[in-house]
Amino acid sequence: MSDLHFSVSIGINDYPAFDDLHHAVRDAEEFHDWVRHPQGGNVPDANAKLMSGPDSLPDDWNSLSARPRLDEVLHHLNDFRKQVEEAVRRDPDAWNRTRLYLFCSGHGIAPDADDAALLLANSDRENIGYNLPCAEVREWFQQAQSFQELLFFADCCRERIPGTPDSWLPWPRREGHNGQVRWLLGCATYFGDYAHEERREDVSPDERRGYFTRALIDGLRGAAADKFTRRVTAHRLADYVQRRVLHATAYRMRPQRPTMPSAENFDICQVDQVRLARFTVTLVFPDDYQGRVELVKDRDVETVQVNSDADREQSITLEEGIYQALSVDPSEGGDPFKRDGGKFLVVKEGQRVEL
Amino acid sequence: MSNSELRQITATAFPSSAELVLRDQSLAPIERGIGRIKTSVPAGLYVLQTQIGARSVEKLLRVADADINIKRDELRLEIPSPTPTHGTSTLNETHEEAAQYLSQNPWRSVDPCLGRLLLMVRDIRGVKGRAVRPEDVDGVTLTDFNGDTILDVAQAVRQVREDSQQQPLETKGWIAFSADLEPGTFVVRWPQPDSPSESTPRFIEQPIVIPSPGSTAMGDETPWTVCIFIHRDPATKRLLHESTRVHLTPLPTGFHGWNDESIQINLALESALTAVERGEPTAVVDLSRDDMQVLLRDKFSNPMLGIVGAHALLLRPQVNWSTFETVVNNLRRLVPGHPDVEALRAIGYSRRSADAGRSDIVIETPPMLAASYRSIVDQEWAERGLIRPGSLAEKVAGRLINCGPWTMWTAASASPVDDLIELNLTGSRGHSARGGTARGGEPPVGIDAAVIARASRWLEGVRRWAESEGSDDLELRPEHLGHALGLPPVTAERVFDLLSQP
Repeated sequence: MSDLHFSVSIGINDYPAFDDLHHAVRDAEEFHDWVRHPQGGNVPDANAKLMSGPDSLPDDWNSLSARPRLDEVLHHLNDFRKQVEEAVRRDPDAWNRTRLYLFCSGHGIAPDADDAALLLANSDRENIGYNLPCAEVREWFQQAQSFQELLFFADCCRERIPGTPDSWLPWPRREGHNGQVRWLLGCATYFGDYAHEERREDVSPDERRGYFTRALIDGLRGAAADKFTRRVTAHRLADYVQRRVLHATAYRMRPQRPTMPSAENFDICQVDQVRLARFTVTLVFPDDYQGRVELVKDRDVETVQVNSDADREQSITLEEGIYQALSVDPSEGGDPFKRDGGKFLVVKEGQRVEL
Repeated sequence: MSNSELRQITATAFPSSAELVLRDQSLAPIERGIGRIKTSVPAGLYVLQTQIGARSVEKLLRVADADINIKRDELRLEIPSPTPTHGTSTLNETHEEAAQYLSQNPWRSVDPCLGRLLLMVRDIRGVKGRAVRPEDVDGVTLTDFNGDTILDVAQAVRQVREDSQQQPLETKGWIAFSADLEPGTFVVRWPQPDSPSESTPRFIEQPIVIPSPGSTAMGDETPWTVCIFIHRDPATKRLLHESTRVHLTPLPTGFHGWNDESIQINLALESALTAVERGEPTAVVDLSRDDMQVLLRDKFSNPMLGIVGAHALLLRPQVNWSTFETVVNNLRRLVPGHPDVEALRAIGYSRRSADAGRSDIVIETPPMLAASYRSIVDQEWAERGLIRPGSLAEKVAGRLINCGPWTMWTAASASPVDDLIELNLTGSRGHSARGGTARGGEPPVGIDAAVIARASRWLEGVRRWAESEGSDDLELRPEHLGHALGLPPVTAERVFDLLSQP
């Protein structure tokens, strides 16, 4: 158990002043589950706080009663800071075992080019300053050196709102002297752009997520792990999440591109096995093609049989990666797959692959 | 596997600032590079990804028994830009033609002409929703830096549109005007249609510098046209100020959307602006040597490239001060007195801890780039005298907003007294509109009530935090306030004194 690891997960679906979101609370719950799981973040229950507002909205649901609020979030962060600083005061070596997770999902803005700020439930257009600026909080903790590692994730839009007051924290600067702080800041989208939620009709609403959270959780559970060391590092996680979300949203006029800067590459977790994501895709074979096809990826081979026009479009579930379709029966008559010689990428759910 | 069984993959991206990533069959990255990669890999399937921002192209590779060399035209990326120019994914030839025509045929002309402004608003992502019309700039004005209106922009673009009916110009998807102006700093006031209430700012303002004529490399005296291009999103009907692009072109030639290097110039400019806006050249936006050379070389025909390029030079881990000095000296000759160039000089002196020559730099009007402005405010804390007391550059520093790479600020409150009543700061202790304890007297002359309000909120927040922490040794000073809110020292001290009065 990582007794000096702490986590605050915030998910907000309901805002009195803004459109409701559908999956932000589930995003936070799933991160909260991962962070406490022995094969995940392994954070003790007492060190992990989930903040997601009331289960059912009260009659007087408005900007005064809406929760969670900024001061509540800051209170929990401050509380965990005090706990960890007390532990380090007793045992300075303990600092090497300290980590703070912060996960946010909801509406958001970008007060600065390098920031992503979650709008708290009581924010509205007149009180846009009720936001949690993740980069600024990260900078504050980096300077205070309360924790050795900071892993912050913000699955929210990064709209630039002219007139937004500069973000500020009601905390005077603290200069820590414990050592070099390692950090990773995962922002769901590029500065000025939107973060989106999945709209998959084939999946029940409870199972849908923000694209960023989906990729983040899959990455942490093993899809971003090195196949030899089984370690998920800051750089591997950043690359995995960026690529996965870009692919999933490539159909949009403005694809969603996460930005995930980090201070250095460091281990986030080690998984028991590498688990690549699996997607159901539709393969479309050329007109008049009939025969047996092998789908080759590394040493894995999946076989597909096309016997008639009815088989020309086939759904199949494959691991993400690069494949080559090889016609093995019949093998004469040259390459029947004209597009890229039968090579194709599997990168997202519901993809259509024209061979 | 022996080396003889490895095959070489060489790839060159276009533009050279694009990031290349080679991935294995599980899509894990095995090699990265900016502009170019060269690596050896065993036989198998790979994907080569070229990426700038959220734009990427991919090429699938099968490595068998031969080396692979991928040329730059096979991995070509184009990016969007409000500037109607070649090498972008948003080029519209009719917009380009209109910009060129208006830059040479001003709606309002004077003789002799010492400077010109071209402002064009474009729809650049196709027209899904209502196309841009003159009413989209209703309420936009151009003022001098005293606040006196010089020009009603909506009226100007309407007139240009009517005149365009007489010209062979297609008017769909753009509105624009051009006018001859005396060199100096002007301010564009943009209404904010989304302003939620009377208490929030209804205008944001942006400085526009029309440079004085400068000497080119040939020794000619050249007036300049400032070309400003803005994207309007047809879906939201918002003008996207953060994506504004500014170019300076020699007045006789006007704006041209194409030259032999326009593709690389625009891509280099986009990369550099992103780096300058973010304040750090991350891997993705890192500028290649080629990009930097293009920016610095082409400053002679577009000094804005040099200004942005010089800022990008300052972001390098090892600044080449000789190059920087050459660039700044050339810019001083090309656009004498330009506040962005003066700010660059000041940054250069400060970073090198050099005093010689610093004393003749005095900034009166805000530079156009936010990076320039924020730097001089920071420097003012280290050594006073860079910002002229009482100048526009001092007054608006506390009202800056984040708006892409550009300097923008909220207009002064229409009714400062209301703001002060809201904060119980009118000096009538115990008798303010909301009750409670009032602090301080009349607002100091020259400081906007909105700045005082921000400062009051910040101080209150810090004091509350100190109380909750049980910290009674909190010693706040004006510099804490100044650094937190981006205020110059004189403003911070005056506001601090005001709010500290019993």
